[in-house]
Amino acid sequence: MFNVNQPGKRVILTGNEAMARGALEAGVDFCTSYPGSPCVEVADCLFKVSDSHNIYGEWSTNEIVALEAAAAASFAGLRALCVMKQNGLAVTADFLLTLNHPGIRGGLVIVVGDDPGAHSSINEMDSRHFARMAEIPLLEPATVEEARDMTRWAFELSEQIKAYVIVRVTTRISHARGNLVLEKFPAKAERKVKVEPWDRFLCVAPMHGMVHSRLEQARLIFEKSPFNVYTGPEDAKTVVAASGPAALYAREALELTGLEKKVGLLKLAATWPLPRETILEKLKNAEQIIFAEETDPFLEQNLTSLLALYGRKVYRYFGQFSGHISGQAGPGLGELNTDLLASGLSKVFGLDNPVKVPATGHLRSILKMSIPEREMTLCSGCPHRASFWALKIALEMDGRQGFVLGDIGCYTLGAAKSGFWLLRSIMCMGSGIGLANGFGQLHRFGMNQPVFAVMGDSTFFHACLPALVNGYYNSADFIAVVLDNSLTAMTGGQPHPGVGLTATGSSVKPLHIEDVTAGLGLRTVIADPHRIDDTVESILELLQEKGPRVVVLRKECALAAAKRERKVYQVKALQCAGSECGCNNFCGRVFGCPAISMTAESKALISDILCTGCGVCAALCPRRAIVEADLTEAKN
Amino acid sequence: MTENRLPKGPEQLMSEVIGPGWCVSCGACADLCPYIKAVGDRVAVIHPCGLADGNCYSICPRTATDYAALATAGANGNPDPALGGWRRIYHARAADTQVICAGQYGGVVSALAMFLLKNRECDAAVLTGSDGLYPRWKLARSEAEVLAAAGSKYGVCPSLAGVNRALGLAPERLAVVGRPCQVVALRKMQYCSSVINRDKIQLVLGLFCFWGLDYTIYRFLAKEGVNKIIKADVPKDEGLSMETDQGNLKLSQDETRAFIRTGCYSCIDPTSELADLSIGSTEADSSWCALIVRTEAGEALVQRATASGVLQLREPTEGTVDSLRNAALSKKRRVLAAEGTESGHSVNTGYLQLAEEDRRSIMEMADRV
Repeated sequence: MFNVNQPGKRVILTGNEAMARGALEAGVDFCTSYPGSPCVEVADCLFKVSDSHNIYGEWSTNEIVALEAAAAASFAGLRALCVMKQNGLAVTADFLLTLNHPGIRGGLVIVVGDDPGAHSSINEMDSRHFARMAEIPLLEPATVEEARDMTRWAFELSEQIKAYVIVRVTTRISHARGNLVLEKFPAKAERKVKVEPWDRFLCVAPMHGMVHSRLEQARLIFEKSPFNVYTGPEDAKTVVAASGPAALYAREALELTGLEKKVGLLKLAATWPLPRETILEKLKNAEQIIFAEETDPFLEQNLTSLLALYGRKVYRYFGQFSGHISGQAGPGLGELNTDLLASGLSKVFGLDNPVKVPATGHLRSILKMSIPEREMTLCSGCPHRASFWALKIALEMDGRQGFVLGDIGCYTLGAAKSGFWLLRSIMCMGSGIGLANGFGQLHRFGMNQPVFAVMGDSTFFHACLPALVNGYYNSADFIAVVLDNSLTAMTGGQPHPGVGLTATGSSVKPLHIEDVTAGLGLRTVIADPHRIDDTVESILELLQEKGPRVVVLRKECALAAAKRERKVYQVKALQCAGSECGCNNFCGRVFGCPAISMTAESKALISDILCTGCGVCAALCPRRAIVEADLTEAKN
Repeated sequence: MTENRLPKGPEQLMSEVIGPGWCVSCGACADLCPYIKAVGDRVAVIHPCGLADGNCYSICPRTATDYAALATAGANGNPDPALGGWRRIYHARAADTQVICAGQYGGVVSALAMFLLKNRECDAAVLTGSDGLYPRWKLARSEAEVLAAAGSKYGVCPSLAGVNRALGLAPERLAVVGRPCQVVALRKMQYCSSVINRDKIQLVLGLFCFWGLDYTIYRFLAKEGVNKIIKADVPKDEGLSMETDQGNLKLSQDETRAFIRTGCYSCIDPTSELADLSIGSTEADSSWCALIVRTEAGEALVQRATASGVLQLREPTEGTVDSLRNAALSKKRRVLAAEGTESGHSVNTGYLQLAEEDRRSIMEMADRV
């Protein structure tokens, strides 16, 4: 739908699709990305139409390479888009702060998806600070339609001021659906790209002045931007200053509290640099300002200091600092919503809170009894479950209190019950093996505990290579466990260098992880995590050695495998030991596959809908009571 | 004994046996369930099973063990303070020289296991084979597999894990060859009604064993470049002697003792007193085995095997039985007299439910050695 060539057609798109549409309507030539929720689909969409729109698209190994590649395209005069999640922007930081110096040529737009409340991230962070630090323009769409409009405009803006532009969205834009009217795709001229003998793309400190002047140029453009909108009474004594979806919550909250005739709403979308004149103008009659934004008080801090520097009066401010506008856990924590803003507005004006939240305490205690706890878990058949169980056995058999450092991917869930609480650390991509380099040197301080670091296959290429080299170079004692399920699973199964397939479907000889680690001089073994006894033995053998060692546990993601072949296992109830000594419901209760539950007689029961047919429970069953089901019957 | 089930479970197994270091790696608790595993010579509780009492605790040979109670159902004839109950003592050897060559001394254990399989009296035999260097339990279903696992292994292999696997997964009539501690565990299993398929344990062949070695011996040998142990033996008054792919290796008695499993110092049963048959060295003629016939089932097996020509018997050589009795009594006295330690090693006799008069008979007989 996002690619339909029918200008004038009104469609419903997700925020991500809308941004892809905006890039297409801007005639984007080059798109690079590393998959990251919430904005993976922006790149996914563009890769799907790469042929028909003559776009080069790639899944880059990590975000900084993605941005560097996109910058090169921009230097060559092409329009380039780079898509990443909030943490990915942090990965590009060094390049962000140097790319701003030479400036760009073809429009270069970075779409970054923030995740307030961390729906699909390990942290919540506000990427807008990076725009301020890099002194480049920031655009914050508040709706799905604006996401399309501003992404399209961003390329033009970028070329006007010769600086890259950040379009920042949140989960509520990326994953929401909204309607918009499609516009036309531009004709793409036949081009011959050349790097001229005089071309230089240098960051040298004296260019810092140019960074300032580009930013000032953007400010002048923002002063006239139709995306910064004031609504409400001209002479309002109170103005809500908001950006992103918080602006919509504010609009709704003003209506809920009956304040819409009294209070103005200044929605900023071309946010940084602050359109100083516009702000001073729109706020000249106000006496108090209420701030609504996610997640950090970015507007609040910068606008208040702008008003202190340039304003001619003293305002009263309400927002995160005063505590009036607050997430559920406190100011600057988690998402905002209409109810929270209505509460905040009521507090500011001393009104009765129109949002009546009924007392639910007594209901909660009833529900707690009848609804089972839903814990974070791995999919049925996930090879990581088997890997974690094998790792647990090996650690216990070794007996030296070894521990496991975690990383980012589906297996991050191994920090909870589905991974037997094994993971001791989780931070950014590559931090597990990074920490292992430190822990692996503590034997000289008396620590004799074996150190493990797990990492996924995509994570391996993204972030772990330097740390592995460091382990070799400095002779750290650790075992790196690569959980290789042959795709970037967490974000939807995208390919990576180890898979042999690119974003646009071409084949390439896959980089086998064991070849890479062996090439780095690291002792490497491979094992099949579904063969738990063999895997335990391999690990126990490695535990006898010293130095950096690698074990690659390779088994395809259960969801990918299940798409190809339908297999299901079932329990022979008579043979099942149930809750007796010898088992005590090991498969469902301890191993924890979500497809396995219990009958009233405490026998194991496998759901034929959830089971993906991995067969690990059958291999682990002490009574051989689990067998493959004959599906031909079901077919007939 | 009517029912062997104590109100304790894996937690107490850890705190009373495995934790303090009394575990002899018999493997009885391993693979009874997914929560206890044995790898190499190490047995550990991987994960709490959630039950307060379990088979694992009851069948462990280092929890409450009453030899008298465990013996009665076996109908072992006259209980002898030195050697336990026995009916006859022979010197025996396999009739087939190929079996003698592959096996230890007279190859009697191998010959009997092969006979049981060939005659379809058992479906499988749980034996201790090896991967060349390290002992590994084997479930042998054919004569060739028995021969492949033949020969004494001096490391403490937790081969009862193989029994548990077999009983849980695909119950077959089993013959089990084990060390004395493993024989005790097997009898405890047979008295424990909640052990699945315990009736499938048909014959228990016990070995003479005065001590077993930790697997550190194999790591030591691997460092010396040894990949394969072809034959091993501990001749009388000598240390471990081996024929390996790196040539012949001999350790002195002191060097060998450095590898002895701690839990073995608490054992008072060097001749597998609860087995159907006990087999070991004659310490006189290395091409024959000492064979102690204990139970009715054991006696019947020996008769059938001899009648069908796979086994040869003769009267024990002069003085060998006395020598065996003395060695056994000395071991028992060392353990029972020890006040907590024996030659510097911790001794635990708390698990032994030994009646005072039985203890006295042993000590009095031992004093006369």
